[in-house]
Amino acid sequence: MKKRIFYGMCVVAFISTLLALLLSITVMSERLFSSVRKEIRNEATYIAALLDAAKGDDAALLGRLGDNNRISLIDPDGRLLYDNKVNIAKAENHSDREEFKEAISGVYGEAVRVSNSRDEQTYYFAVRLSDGNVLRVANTTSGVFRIISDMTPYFFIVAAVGIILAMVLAHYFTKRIIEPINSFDPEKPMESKIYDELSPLVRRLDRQNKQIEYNINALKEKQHELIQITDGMREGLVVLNNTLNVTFINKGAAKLLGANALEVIGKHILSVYRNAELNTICATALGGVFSETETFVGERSYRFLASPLLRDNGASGVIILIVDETEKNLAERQRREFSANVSHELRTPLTSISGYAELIKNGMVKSDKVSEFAGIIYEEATKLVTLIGDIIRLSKLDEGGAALEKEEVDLYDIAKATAARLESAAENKNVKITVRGTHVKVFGVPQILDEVIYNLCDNAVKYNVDGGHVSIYVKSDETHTHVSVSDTGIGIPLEERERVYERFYRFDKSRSKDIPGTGLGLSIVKHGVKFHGGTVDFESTPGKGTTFRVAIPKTTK
Amino acid sequence: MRNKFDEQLDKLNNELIAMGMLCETAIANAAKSISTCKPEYTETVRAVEKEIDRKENDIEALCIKLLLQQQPVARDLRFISAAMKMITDMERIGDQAADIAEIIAMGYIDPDNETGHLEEMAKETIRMVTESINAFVKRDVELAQRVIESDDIVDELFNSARKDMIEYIKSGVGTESSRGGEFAVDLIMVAKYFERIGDHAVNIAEWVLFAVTGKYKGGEVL
Repeated sequence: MKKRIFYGMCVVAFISTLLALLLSITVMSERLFSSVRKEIRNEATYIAALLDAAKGDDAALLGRLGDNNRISLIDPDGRLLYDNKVNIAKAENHSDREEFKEAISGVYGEAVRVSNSRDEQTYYFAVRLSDGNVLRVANTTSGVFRIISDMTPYFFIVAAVGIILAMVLAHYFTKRIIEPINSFDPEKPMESKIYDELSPLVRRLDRQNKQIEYNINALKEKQHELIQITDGMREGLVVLNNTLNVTFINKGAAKLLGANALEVIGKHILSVYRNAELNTICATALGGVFSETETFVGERSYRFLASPLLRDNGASGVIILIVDETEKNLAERQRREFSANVSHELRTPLTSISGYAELIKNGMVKSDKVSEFAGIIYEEATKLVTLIGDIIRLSKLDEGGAALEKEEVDLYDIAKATAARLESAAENKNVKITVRGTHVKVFGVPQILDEVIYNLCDNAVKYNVDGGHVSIYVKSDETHTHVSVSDTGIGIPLEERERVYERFYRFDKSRSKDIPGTGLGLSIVKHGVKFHGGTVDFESTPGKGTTFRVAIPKTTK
Repeated sequence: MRNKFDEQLDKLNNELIAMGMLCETAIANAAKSISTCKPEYTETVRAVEKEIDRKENDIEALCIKLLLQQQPVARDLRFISAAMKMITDMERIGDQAADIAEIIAMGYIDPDNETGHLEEMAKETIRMVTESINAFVKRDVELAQRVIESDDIVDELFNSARKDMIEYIKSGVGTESSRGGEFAVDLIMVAKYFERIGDHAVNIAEWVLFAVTGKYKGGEVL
């Protein structure tokens, strides 16, 4: 830009100098010529007057006049009588000269003769004297081109000065133009100080900035939204590009794959998580076909679903969804086990019932034994009823106990009543039940709370030792109501801790035959407490006893 | 040009990880064939071993191409030369895993009469191979060092297995069974293969150290 301004200025300086020169030369040469004319005319008139007045030796007089201009004296025949520049002896006849002819015929004559070869013009002015002779004064001036050629060196000096000036000015102007542009802040165009000529640009920039800012904000919001959605997902989401490098990973995926979400961006999926099946499904998905696999990582099982990221022609990447299926598989297994267990538990008493009934029907039982057999049938039927009752209770709890209405319940009263109900069973085992604590009211479903405490106490009695003790303690603090049931029974082995709440689970298989029970008790306890938003846990020392603690939060409604 | 080079280095890196992964799969399947005696695992190991061989050829070709066309120096040269050495070890791991599966398929070793050292060895070697590849993926010098040190564990286990077999032969239990001799020989061979796989894992870890630090077995090489 600086160069172009400089060149422009140079051209302008050069052309204007040249034009000025030519114009001034033309005008000046014209002026010069006319003033020379006037001067010569005057001079000739004076000299003529002088000669007319002197009437002496004309040549001698003329000799004293100096040789500034050419002065000639010509006789009427055209012969030169005097000349201060030319040798009169060698001079040719002047009778055919224009100015001479004019002067002879009139009073004076003039002529301009141009010598092209020497680029000169000579002005002649002739006056007829009173004695008939003709006085001629002449002056030669240089032509226009001579003047120009004489002026050329000066012209170049002026041009050079012009160029230097142009350089300085170009530098200065460029600086003046560029500086505000350089210091211009495109982020805040309206705040910058800049000259008027740029204000349309500034306004446009400002408009664009606002548009861009708006777009960026919109994009950011969208991205934020996406991140919030994906980070809120429990499932893992990974996006890979066409070389299977990670371009996006959500929190869930980072957690499941044990990776650092920030570090893995741009890395190959195998560097992040090395798994042959994952690699295979990624390759398949990159080929444009959805595929999935399930793989075990330690204890947990993950399902990887890889879908191709289709764009124009073929897959440009892969989206992997990682689902932790451990819980689902566990739940499925438990459901399967539950149905198997239910069928088994239902079948066992029914087999004996139908067996004994068949014996009686076929008359295979002696009449004195019938009542004994009927007793067995009755016992098994009771077991069945209890079992079905438990199952119904559990499924009701599973469904959220929708049909049951909550009311104020005194847990201490329930504990007391439970103790009374279990008294005969406890006496049989020589176990003592004590209830301590205060009257505490909770807002809950009495049937369920009764089940919870009954089952806990029932277990405490059943799994107790001869001469043992069961202690129920009811108390409350600011947030929760606590019921604890301690026994001095056989305890629960450490390795069984996780499983005691499972349905139909009875840890001591060898003893299960002796101690009646459905294996659903603790399951009912757990669900019952959960229904009331509480927690249940226990501590146990095998051989010494177990303490179950139930905590139910205090709520008004 | 350099950009292309970086791309190719990335590709080499990923291919190496993929090959390492195949090795892990091969040993894991070989180990499974011991604990279950199911022939399908032997088949899998064979297929994976072939895949490993193919990968070795591919990676070797890629390495040579890179060396010829790009004339790498310093770290890149170390990385590529280490890669060429590593694939040899990985290929051996694949072969030995296949050999183990082959021996198990003959059926003289079954989970009931095995003394327990094999399973432990399998676990330990799988861990070593996995960690050596992890060290490569993360360029983790410390982890590589740990792999090199843990070689003693596998060696110790091999010695125990060897002692067990010597006891077994001395006690003459094998003579009662028609397959006693085969059992002893096969078991010691499988144990030896595991011990060798451990050594290869150590080699890989050493090449990782070399690629990262430029030191091989403690001494400056490049």
